[in-house]
Amino acid sequence: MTDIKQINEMIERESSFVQLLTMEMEKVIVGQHHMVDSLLIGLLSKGHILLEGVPGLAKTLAINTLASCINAGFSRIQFTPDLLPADLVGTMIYNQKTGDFVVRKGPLFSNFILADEINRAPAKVQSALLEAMQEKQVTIGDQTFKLQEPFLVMATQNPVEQEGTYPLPEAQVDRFMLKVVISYPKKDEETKIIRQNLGGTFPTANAIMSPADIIRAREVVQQVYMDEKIEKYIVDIVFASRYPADSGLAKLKDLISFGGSPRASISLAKAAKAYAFIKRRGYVIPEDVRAVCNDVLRHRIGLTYEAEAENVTSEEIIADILNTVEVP
Amino acid sequence: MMRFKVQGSKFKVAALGVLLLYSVSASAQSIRSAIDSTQLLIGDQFHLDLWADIPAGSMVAWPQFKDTLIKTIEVVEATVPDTVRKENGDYTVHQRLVLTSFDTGFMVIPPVAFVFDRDTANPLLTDPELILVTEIPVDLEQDIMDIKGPMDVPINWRKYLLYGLIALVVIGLLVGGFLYWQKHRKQRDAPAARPVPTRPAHEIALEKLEALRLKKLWQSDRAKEYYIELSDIVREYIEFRFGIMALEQTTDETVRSLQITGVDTELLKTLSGMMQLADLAKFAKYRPMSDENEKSMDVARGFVENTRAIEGKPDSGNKSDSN
Repeated sequence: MTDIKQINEMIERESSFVQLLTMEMEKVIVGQHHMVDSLLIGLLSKGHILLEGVPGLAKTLAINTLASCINAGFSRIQFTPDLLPADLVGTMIYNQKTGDFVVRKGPLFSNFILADEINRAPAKVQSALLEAMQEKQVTIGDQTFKLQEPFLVMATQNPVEQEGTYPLPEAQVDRFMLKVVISYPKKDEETKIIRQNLGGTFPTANAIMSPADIIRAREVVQQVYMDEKIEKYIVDIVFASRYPADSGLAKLKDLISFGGSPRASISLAKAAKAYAFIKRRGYVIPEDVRAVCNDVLRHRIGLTYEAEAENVTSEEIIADILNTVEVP
Repeated sequence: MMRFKVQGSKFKVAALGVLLLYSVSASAQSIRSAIDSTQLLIGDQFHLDLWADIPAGSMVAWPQFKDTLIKTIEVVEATVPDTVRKENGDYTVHQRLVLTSFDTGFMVIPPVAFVFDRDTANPLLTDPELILVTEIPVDLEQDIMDIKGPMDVPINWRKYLLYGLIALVVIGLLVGGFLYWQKHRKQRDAPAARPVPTRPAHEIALEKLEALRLKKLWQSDRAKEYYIELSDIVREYIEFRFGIMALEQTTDETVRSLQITGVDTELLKTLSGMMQLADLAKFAKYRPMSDENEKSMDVARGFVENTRAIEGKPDSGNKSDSN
């Protein structure tokens, strides 16, 4: 096993781009530091992100800027009720000259995908996207194509409108590593946004990295050291969401219909490692786990009708769990 | 108006229920009947009373009534025949029938037959009665009237008071039961509280620190265990001394919480350094130097001694007394 000192030095060296990337993104995106951090966590830990927020909070701009910074491909797909799976993955079209069917790849063949308003498309289209996210490959006709690396899907959901939407089933929401809830910018940030937009020349992000750099960074993130006590802490948190009464949280028993899956534990560990990397540390500490806990668990904890009637949110449940589970 | 009739004629009684009365007297038998009204409105009820004087030693087969006397006269109710014994041993039996009719016109109440001493060939019959049933007079000159409204029932305050009291008791029981359930549920749901020590927190912490020192963990290449125990002792002390949930908080959170309690800044800085070193040893495989290990113990001991509670004051939730 590599010595922790070496890992730390390597992380110090390899994570230096994080600050540069963040600064480049901040040239375009005002505020929304949490969203930018979450994008990086998803990018570095091969996880996909579900963003929830009202329109106009720079969701599209953020992922577009990230793609520009990394010099990678970007596709935006607006999900609508009449969208078909072939509109995402591509299809076979007939070439009259050659008399053959040729593959026409869909917008999924890109590095960064923005699936805008994913809950507007019917289940078969959602399934096609989620399958591609999971398998990292797409089959068109009789040919299977590997998707490009890095491959990051950022799907958005509008929490306000519910009519004419197809809410993602729990099993499919679980495929997203993080669910990030975006709020409005602060007053001073909004003032800056107005000035930026009225200034005539909108700032653009420069390409400072290549997709190969990200792939290498991902390998480094995997080497971030996670002690068994941190692993136990993660398991304790996830188990407390499943069996709250066993963790001294009997009051949550009637509020939780189902807790985090093993995929939640995996995601929590991966995200905590990526967060430690962003913070330029070669090892994970409990702060890292707590920092990503909300984004990893909020869509993986099912609420009962009683919880909904009492206006209890999954964030409150997570806060209760974190305040009860002993930190190592 | 009530009229009485006495009749001695005979009639054959076939399918009647039998009420047998015996007597040893030889007095004359007689029957009587009376109605209380001969003119009535449709649906009105009226009474037909029947009497039979029975000498001692005689018996009578009392007539039985079904739900109608004749097709147009209904029997609403028939009382149980009432027997009254006279001084000479004779009997008088009386029965009242409540009758009504829902038809109009003249109607005849047929004679009622009484059979004495099983002489079915010569029953005694009551006189037939003629009654007139009329409709409610309607004035055709007037317009059709609307349906009559509901009648006002006089308010019975006593009854309402009783209902009110019953309702109050029921509501009280429900509210009491709900509150009891809530309290019981809260108690049941409350997380198991950590046992509060009976001795001052600093005494326990100093004892544990001394015990840890004597274990010589870092000297035997078990620095990780040493720092796990050291940080646990300090966090437990902070929890009981300051009422901060340090065991459920990270190092940064604990330090931030201690800042609010007003612990001396320098003291907090050294403690923070020690806790961060402990985190490195616990989570990053870091092996501190010997002097760092000794210094960490001194920092922990110094923090406990400098923030110990003043005697007589409770530990938990107090601000630092070192300031």
